[in-house]
Amino acid sequence: MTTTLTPDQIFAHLKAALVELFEIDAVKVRPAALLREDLDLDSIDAVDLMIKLKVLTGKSLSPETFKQVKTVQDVVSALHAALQK
Amino acid sequence: MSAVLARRPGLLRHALRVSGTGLCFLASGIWLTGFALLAFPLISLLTRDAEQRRLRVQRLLHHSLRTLMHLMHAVGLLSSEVRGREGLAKPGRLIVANHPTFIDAIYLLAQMPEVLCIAKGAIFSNPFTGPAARAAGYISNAQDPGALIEQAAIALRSGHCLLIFPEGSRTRPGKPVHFARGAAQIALTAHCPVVPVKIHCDPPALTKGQWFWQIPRQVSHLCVTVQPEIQPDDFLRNGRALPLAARDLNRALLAACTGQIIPAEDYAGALHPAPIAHT
Repeated sequence: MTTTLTPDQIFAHLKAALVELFEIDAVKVRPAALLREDLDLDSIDAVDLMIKLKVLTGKSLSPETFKQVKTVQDVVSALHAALQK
Repeated sequence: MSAVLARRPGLLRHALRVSGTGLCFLASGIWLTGFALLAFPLISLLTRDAEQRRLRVQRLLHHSLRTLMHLMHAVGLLSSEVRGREGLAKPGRLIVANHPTFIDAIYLLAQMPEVLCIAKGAIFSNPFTGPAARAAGYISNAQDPGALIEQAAIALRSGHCLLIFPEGSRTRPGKPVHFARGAAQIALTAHCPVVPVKIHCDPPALTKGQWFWQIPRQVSHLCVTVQPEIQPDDFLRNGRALPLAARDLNRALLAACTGQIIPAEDYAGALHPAPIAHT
C-alpha cells in the first residue's frame, strides 16, 4: 500500500513533480527551500502540484493545509502524516 | 514669512503644488462620497439592467477621473504623455500595467470609458473607494484564485476590457518589480490579447509610503507607453503546459511593462525561451 512510503520516497516524488510541472532546477529542491520565495510557486501552481502528488503518492493536501506549509520539508511531513492516517 | 518666500520663490511654488495636491485628494474624497450617497443610488434606481448599470458607473468614473487628471495638471502636480493610446481602444483586452504611483491607475481609468479592474481587498473595504468599485462591478482579488481567474476570463470573453496591476500594490521604490502570475493565468484561460502598459513617473511622486506633502520639488512627468499586443496562445504552442506557459508569458509581460529581464539562471524555463512577442 501507499502507506509504506518513507519521507525520503515522498521527497523524491515531490522533487520529481516540481521538476516536471514547473521546470524547477532539481538542485534548488532542498528540504529547507521555501515554496513561494525560493521555488516561485503560487496558489494556482499548488493546485497543479496537489493533483500530481495525488497520482504519485495516493494522497494530497487540502488547500487549507497547503496554505500553512512553507518549505519543501513541510510538504513532505504533511504528506507523510496524511499517509499514516 | 513673506521675506523668506521672496528670497526663495521656489518655496512658494512648492507650497502651492503641495496644497494643490492636497486639494486633489480632498476633491476626490468629496466626489466619491457624493457618488456613494447620490450618484450610485440614482443610477441603480434608473437602470434596471445590472450590466447597463455597471457600464454607466464605469463611464461616470471615467469622466470624473478625467476631470481629476485635469485638476492634477492644473495644480502643477505633474505633466503627462501617452504613447500608443489607440491600443487601449479595443474591446475584450486584458490591460496589464506596472504600478509605480497612485496616479497611474487614475490615469489609465481616465483613458478608458468602459473598463473593469481587479482591485485588492483594501479598495473594497475603503469607505471612499469601496462603493465605487462595487458599483462599477470591479473584481476583488481577495477570493479563491481559481474563482478569480474564472470570473475574470468570463468578463473578458464577453468583450469587457479588464485592467490589472500584477504587482498587487504600488511598486516599492528601489526594489525589483515582481509580477504575480495571475494576470498571465487569466490571459491564458480567456485566450484574449494582452496589452502591456509601461508606466514611468520621473521624479517619482505618490509612490508607496509617500504622502501628498512629500511630493518632489520638481514637476513629475508621467509617461505612459501602450505596448504592442501579446497573444497568449503563442505561449501555448507545441503543447506547452499551462503552468510553464504562465511563467513564460509573465516574463514577457514584466519585460514589456518594466524593461526588467529575469536572468536566465533564475529562471528554470530558460531552456525553452518564450516566443518573441509581436512587435
